[in-house]
Amino acid sequence: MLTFIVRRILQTLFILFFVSIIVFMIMHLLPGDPVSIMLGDYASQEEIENLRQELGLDKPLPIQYMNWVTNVLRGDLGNSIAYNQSVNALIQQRLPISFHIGLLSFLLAIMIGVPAGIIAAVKRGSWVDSLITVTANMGMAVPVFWLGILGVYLFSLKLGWLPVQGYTSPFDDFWRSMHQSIMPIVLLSLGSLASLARQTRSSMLEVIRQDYIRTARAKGLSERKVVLGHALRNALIPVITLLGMGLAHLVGGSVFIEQVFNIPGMGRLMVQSIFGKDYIVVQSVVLIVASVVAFGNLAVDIAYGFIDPRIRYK
Amino acid sequence: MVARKQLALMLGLITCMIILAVGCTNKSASVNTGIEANASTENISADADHSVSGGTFTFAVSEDAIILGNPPTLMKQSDPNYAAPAVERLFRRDQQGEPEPYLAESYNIADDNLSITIELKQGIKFHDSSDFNAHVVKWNLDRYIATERAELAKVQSVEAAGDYTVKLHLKEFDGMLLQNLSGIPGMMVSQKSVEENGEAWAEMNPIGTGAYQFVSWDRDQRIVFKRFEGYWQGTPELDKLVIEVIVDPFAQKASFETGEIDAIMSLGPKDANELKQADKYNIEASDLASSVLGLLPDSAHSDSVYSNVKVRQAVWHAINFEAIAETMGYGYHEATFQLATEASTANNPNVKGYPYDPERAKALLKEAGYADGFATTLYAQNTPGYSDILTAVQAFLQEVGITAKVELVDQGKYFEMLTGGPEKGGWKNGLTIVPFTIVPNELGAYARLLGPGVSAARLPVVYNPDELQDFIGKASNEPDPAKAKSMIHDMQKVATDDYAAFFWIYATKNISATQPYVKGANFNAPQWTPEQIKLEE
Repeated sequence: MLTFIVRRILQTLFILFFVSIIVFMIMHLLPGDPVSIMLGDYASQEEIENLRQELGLDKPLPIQYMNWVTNVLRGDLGNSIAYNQSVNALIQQRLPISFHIGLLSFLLAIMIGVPAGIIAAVKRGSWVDSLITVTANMGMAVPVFWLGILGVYLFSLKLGWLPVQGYTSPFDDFWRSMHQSIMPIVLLSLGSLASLARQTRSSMLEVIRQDYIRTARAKGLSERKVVLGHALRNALIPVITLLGMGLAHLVGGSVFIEQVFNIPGMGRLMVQSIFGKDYIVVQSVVLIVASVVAFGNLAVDIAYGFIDPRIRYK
Repeated sequence: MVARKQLALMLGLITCMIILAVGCTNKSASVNTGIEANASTENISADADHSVSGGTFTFAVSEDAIILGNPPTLMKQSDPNYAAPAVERLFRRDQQGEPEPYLAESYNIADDNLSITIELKQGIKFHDSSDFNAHVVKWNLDRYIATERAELAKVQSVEAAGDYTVKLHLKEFDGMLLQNLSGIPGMMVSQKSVEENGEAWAEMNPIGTGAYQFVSWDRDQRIVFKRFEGYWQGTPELDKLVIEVIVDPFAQKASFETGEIDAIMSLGPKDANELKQADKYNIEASDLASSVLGLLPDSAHSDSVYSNVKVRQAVWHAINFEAIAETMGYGYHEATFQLATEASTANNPNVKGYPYDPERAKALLKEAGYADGFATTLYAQNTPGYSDILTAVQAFLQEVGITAKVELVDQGKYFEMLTGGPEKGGWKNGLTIVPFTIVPNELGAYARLLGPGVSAARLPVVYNPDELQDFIGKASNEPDPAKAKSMIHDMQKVATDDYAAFFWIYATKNISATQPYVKGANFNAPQWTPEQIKLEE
């Protein structure tokens, strides 16, 4: 197991190295000069050249890449061109906001999606199963930004129950924070909730046909114990894989949700930085998201062994 | 038993993660002056509080500032608006866009035009209680001159000729100087605060003489100001002024409709039209243009069809820009044949222009040797609305036999096209939408994109007649305002009637929306006047 973990960590580092090169090259090879974008139509050529020199953008690409990577390894992510602020500080401000919204939506998706999937599997063929399946399909099919606009129209403009936009830290004002976060959290959870429900249902259906489930029932175990103790545990592996993939939302935020609800998280930072060609920010955010996803998936692989003791890595 | 333990472990882990998430949630993202240490922890409600005397005025903007309180550091043109509640300028533009003394009391241009003496208003204090005087003005201007930026490039030196008298010694007369002193270079910040706390601190903490004192800045969220009791024009009306950054236009409009915000500083014509239909808000547009959209040909290429003036005239006659302005602007845009709206003093009423006339266009094309038309490309940055304009232009051109294809480019590519000459890229055999932002005025817009010496760096593929550049250069250096104005008028006529050098699609105006109880917001004035805002019961 230890060998497996070490090997996977090395693989992960290798992946991150490649990600860093790819994102660096993409951002630098795209047409357009971030300094011209930042200074606008009216900047003089001299102003543009001075700022480019100040930011080190006049150096050859390999040197720029080496400088960036060296600084990243030292924990310094560099300075944002557009925000005139260190990227470390920017991420320190944005990450908790995306994490707050992402984590609550993640938990909501698990709390509703998994039980819904179990119920649909257990009540297979019933109207409950049909309702859950159709709702889950709709949840996956309907675009989040459209639901966002619909939600604002209904709950804010028509009913006046929820604010249109904004973000407040729960530490500054807990109730205001909850009030503002309800719509983004629910909408952000919808996609994962629907996938989880569908995945749990199909995994459970596969498992409950197995002989050992029949044996468990024959032993006289209650249906609750059979479903939760025997079937669910064995059905969880694909579900956990899905959860691992959802980790990106926790740190990467959601572009649409953060845009529509005016949440200053990582997703919005990323989009604005891409449009502004703020190289350093885009590179850093992508690297952080990639790291979390890569290490998250490593954790998921390790978790398989705990969920199913039959799985052993060599 | 084991399963229960694992379940408990998982629940514990989840609880820890929630606590961690909540705990990590940034409390210190806002930047504070240090003058009011408790300000950031105050519950700044985005909802307007109309019950309190003065109240809180909250308005939306669509993008955040980069720098608030250190003018010499490069700033976006829109940054001074965000700092305006706290930082005032030596001059301010009046309703016609002309600079008038503001923190300055008066000014006098020497007979030889090589110096300007500015008398300052007395008894003005910065928010840190330091005095506003000639020494602080000299310190501010000297720092700006040291950046070697164009606005004060013609100022040789600044002299504090008395406690409240500043003398600017000039290398040569600069007709744009007073305009520039009503812009970023004229922003006066406290020398004491900057020297005590450093420039990096000053960038985030605007300490000026304005009606409202800076409280906090949550990047990409909001900037909060509170009333400055020691304001030189008397105690301001509002308790607080909050600038709310709302990027999405839908969210801006919805927040306005629900009353979460009191105003939108600048909104699109479609949203403005929808809000106007509700008949309960104040929707107003500026008289002067905020920008004029140009459709620029690659006329500097000798092999381009647009190098022929008859083709350019034909194209102008072929396109019904008035219809495009009406459709795109819902009545808020103004079709124009020159770089100015009718209300502007830069407007020359004698410009004839090229009214929509497809038959005349066909005749001109025939004269130019293109009786069967030609193929061309229409470029624009992928900004909302631009593709619609190009589609309309495409249809109008088709009517006179010109086959056009539309190509939208991203921001990066667009800037490359703008700065790229024939060797570096630019664009070939086509027309590109280029907005001319009216900063500080029409002459400034011309000068910074098409002035003498600029062509090599900006729009090198666009034919820019020497005559036009001469006018721009002379008007910029003319001390007599009446003569300068006359030169600008001549320039407009030459550019349009003689050369058909640039096609003007329409002039856009700033459109603002305010709730009925908001008075004096003045978002559409050439310069915003935050000290005049008040909320009625």
